[in-house]
Amino acid sequence: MKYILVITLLASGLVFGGNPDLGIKSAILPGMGQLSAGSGEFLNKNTLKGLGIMAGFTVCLHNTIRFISLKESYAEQTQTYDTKNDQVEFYDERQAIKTKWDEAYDNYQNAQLWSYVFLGLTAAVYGYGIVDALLFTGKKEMQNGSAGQSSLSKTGLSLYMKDSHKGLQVYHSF
Amino acid sequence: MVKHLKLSLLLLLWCAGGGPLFSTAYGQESLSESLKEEEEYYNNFGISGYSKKEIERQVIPYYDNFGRHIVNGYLIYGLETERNTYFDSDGNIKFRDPASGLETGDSTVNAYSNMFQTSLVSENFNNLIMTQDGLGDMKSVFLIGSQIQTRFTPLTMNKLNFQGVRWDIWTPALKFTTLISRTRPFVMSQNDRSGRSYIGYYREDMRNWQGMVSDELLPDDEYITKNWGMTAFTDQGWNLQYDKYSDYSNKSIYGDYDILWGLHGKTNIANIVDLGVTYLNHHRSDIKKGEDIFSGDVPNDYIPTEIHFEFYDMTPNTTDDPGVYVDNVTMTMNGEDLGADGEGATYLVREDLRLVSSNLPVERSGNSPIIVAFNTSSAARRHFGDSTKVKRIDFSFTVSGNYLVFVSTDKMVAYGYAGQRNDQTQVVQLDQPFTRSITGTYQTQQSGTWSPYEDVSLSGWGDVRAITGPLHGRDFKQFGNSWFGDYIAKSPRVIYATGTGKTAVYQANKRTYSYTYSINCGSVTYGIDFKGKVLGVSFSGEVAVNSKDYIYPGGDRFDPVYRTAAYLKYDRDILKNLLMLRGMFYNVDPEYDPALEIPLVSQHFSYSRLYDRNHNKYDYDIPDYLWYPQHFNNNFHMLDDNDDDDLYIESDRMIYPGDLGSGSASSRWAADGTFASFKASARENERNNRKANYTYLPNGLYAFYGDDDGVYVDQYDRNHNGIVDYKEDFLLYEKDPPIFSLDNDMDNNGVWDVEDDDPYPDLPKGIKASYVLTSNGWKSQGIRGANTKLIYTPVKNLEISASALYEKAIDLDFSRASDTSVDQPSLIGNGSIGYDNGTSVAEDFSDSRSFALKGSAMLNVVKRSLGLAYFTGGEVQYLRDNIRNDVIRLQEVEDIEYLYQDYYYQTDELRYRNAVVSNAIGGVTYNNIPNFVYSASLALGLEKRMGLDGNFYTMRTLRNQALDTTQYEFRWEPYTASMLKRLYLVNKFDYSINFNVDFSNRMRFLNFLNRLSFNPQFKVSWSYSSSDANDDPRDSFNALTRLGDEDSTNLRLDWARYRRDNTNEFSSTPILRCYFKVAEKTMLQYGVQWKKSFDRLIRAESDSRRVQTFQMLSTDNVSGYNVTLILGMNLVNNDYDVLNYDTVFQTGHLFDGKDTQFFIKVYAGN
Repeated sequence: MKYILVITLLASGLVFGGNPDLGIKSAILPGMGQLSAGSGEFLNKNTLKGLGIMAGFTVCLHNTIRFISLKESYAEQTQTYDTKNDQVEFYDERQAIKTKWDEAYDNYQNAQLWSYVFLGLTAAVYGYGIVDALLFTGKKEMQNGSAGQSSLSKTGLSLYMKDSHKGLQVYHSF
Repeated sequence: MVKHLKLSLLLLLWCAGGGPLFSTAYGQESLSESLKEEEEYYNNFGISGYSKKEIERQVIPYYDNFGRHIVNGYLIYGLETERNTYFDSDGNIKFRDPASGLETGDSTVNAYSNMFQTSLVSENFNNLIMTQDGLGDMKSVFLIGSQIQTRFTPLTMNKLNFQGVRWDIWTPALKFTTLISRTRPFVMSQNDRSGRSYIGYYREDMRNWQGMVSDELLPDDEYITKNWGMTAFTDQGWNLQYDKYSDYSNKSIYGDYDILWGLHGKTNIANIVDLGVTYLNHHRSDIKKGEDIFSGDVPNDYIPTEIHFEFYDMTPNTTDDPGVYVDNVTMTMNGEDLGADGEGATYLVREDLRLVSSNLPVERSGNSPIIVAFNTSSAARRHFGDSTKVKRIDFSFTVSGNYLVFVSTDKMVAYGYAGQRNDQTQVVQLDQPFTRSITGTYQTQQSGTWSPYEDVSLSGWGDVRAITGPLHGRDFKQFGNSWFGDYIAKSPRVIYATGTGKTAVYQANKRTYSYTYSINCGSVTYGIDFKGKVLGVSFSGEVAVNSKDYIYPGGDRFDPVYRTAAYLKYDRDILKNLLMLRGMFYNVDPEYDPALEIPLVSQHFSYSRLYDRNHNKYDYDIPDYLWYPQHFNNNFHMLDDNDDDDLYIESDRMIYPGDLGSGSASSRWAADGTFASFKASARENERNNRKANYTYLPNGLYAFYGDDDGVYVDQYDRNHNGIVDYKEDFLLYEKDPPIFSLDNDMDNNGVWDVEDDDPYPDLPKGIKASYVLTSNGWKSQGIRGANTKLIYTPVKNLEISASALYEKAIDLDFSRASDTSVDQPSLIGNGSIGYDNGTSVAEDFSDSRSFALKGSAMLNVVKRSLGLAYFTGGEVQYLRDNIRNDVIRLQEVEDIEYLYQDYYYQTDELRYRNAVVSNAIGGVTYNNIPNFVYSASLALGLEKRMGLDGNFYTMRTLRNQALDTTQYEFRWEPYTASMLKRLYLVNKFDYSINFNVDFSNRMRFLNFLNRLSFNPQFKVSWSYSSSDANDDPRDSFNALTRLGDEDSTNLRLDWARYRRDNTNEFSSTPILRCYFKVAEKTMLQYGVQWKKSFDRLIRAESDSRRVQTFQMLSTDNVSGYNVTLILGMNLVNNDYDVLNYDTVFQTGHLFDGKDTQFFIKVYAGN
């Protein structure tokens, strides 16, 4: 249900207003929409947010690849020990191999867990980057006004946030 | 269009006027690029000048022959040749010892060619002495040096480190250059000394630079130990050690030397065409006979006492196919039949290396040759009185199967001489240069003792001794055993048959060759080059004819052999700015080379004693041509091999005479380019010994190969460290592999052109001759072909093109004689191969030819207002490639000391014998956000190979990354149909953080932030390829199976083939760089990179690599040079996911790594 809600929200944001250009940029690269809104000023809130999302995405994606790689390497290592186990006859040797197999299997389990964690985080950062760009990131010149209203849009629908007020805004410009 | 064709034909015929053949350039590049090559080739310094090294101290006054004061300074360079003749009362020529005034038997003492050069000429690159003058419009420049870049034309003179004298004249109408150089023996550059062309028995130069007293010729153990810091010359004796470290540049055993002189002029005719004329004369002379500046000569001492042939199996690693079958070999002298003396002695080589007598006809399959040796001295004595009466020696041999034929003489062994000083009398007794005969060579080791297999001196071979020369208890073990000569025939095609089919091949494919023994004594090249524009056609080209003189030592001078090289490039706008046609015709005759011939070493007789780095023990591994100079030429090229166009020649024994040619015991290189250190003495498996710049070849020999800054062009190796940027830490962010460009493997050898470095002399761009690896060198089969390209530009930024290429190797069997007597070569199509039984077989396409059809489209768009740039393109190629383009690749750079680079030889497997290759590329760069850049690129590829009937003999290079070794495997393979899919995706982004703060009062210290900057980057890529050509052998491998050698080899081969076409690898690399500006020109830098590689095909290859670099960088202008100093350290951690080395498939790794490196580098430039 929540997926449908998110997708509906994103779709409505794209269709009816918000910042589709920023959203698309963040869909291409998380944080790029926010950076775009920050217009390159380092101490700008959007820039910092964009850099944060980008850094978070980088860390998560890098570690996702890292732990998937480790997971598959350890999985292969367990198979290697399986084969070696078939090749030896003596109990002592089998015990040594079993110890290594156990260690590899533990590593595999850990790597698998972390790969899931970082995969989820990567998806979350990616999704957040888009939602944030689409709905909660305004252009620099509009930061103190109605958030998310594209200067190019004539009619639109967007979520807005100003001070402690939040809500849905429908607008039309002439 | 018709008009254009006519014009093309006219140009073609005109070009052909200088010879039967001609050539042009491949249409891969724009005309401006292709013509630029010629514009830059001829570098006349008359107007532009050249860097100059000043003589800072004026020390000695010099005067000319008339007593006029010339200069106060140093003698920089001298070259003179002199011959003194003495007669006795009967008019007989006598030799007079200049020291004692008495008669001597040494025929070389009364003549010399002397060259002198000081270190002033060689201390750095810009080290030439120059006089520059001008009057009116005429400028004149004299240059003397050892590293003068000298380029006339691409087919005649392209020398990076010309050593000698050059005179440039420049006028508005004519540019003119003359030059002269003694190209052998070379001269020492670092030490002030002279280099005489005869053996330096009385070596004043030696005495000077090593502090020896007069007449003390050879240093003894004590002297060596004391002055050179070396010990343990005990059991081997010091003679050989001295031999190894001696100065070969100062002598030629028989008193021969090589001279190069020539000229090049260039002018413009009627403002239509630039016309250049070249004349080059490279010859050798005998100091005893005097200088013959036009056609050269060789000393009579080269009269052979033995000539022997070695017949090799061309497929030595497979024994169930046809090998070599020798039917008969006969010799005649002065055209006379010699009866039994003309039949020679036949030997086979047993596994224990003993020679075994045999008789012809005989067959051999495997890696040892059939040897047929002729005692020419004995035959000459019986039939003519003595050897000097012989004016020519001719041979005829009949051979079949898969063969390669080598010929040499007892005089063409590696240089060597020996001497011994009598400690009491201080008299040094010197042996003559030693020679060697076949039967005296082979010995066998039994119970640790080496003994000759056959004492030839007792075997009735007349005046041939087992080993002549060294009389002081030396034998071949201590003097090496390498023969130099020439490969004179090979089977025109490699034939597959098994069982009884082999016998049928031997009987049906017999060919009879004729061969006349001779030595190349002169090489003259005439050239005309041109460039212009007529009737809208821009053209450029060149015709060069090389004439080589051959002589029998002391006998006949034979008809010269002419070889032509030519090319013609054309470029024509059919519809201006819309449709353009360009192309090239080209022809390079087999073995075309402006320089004197370079002897090649025997594949089999090529080994020596060796020393490793830390011990003075010796073994018999690496051929001694790495130690000792060879007779004749010593690898002097006029067309250098410098594919990456930098300051270093690649396939040369000599790197830089000025830099490295000290010849002292503590130096790495002797002056002629041979090693004078332990670097070449390494054993293969001792890592700390593997230091030499050479490459191991598929035939088991080694070839010199080296380039100080690697073999990649600047564009892909910006820091010149020999590591291609897209594989190098930090730099990998900026540079992507060339997969995102079209036509990135123009010679279709499966190696991207930027990593492709052939070991052959450079020819004009677009022309690559067909070569065959013979020993430690290559024989050219020539190339003839044409290409054309039609370019359509419908809109700006979009280029659509279609091109075609056709080329063929000209001579398939090395033998010039067979082309007129046996074969019928075709100009461009099917020639025929003749056999003794009267049959004639048409050449197959797969014997010699390549064909390519290519279509491509490329769109490049830049939208500056949007901060957007993108490109997209595609290509389809139909390829039939049958010309092997083997290359040498750089594997890694050792970082312990400089100059240690590992190369390996990659064979061209001809994977595109019959294939369609298509690629699509695209990419976008977005930089419309300040301080931020994002880019993504995608490449998709398909390779469809269409099967061919038959089996093909394939040589494959197997690299073992974990063990860092190279192996070669050989087998007959079918060419089956297959499909390969490829994908490469790269995403990367980068953000620059700079501060701009202005605090005051107590917070002022925070203003230092303005000196800081950060640059985070991230690059992630995915590389995938999959082919149905081979199954993964690991899937069917049963680890419980007992494997034999053949099983292991087959598994490795299957794996190599599978691995080559299948990859699935992810790479993720975050990078953070920080900079702190200390002063205006000084900066502290820190960078850290975490690179994760995830190899799904070989999971044990997956790794995490963390690199941290700290460095301080400072620049300034010093004495007109921009000087940059960098010092810092690298911390490298390499951590494989698992350490799981697979001994069968040789995948995975044995160790993780952690390196700490400190570095200081200083660069200077303009």
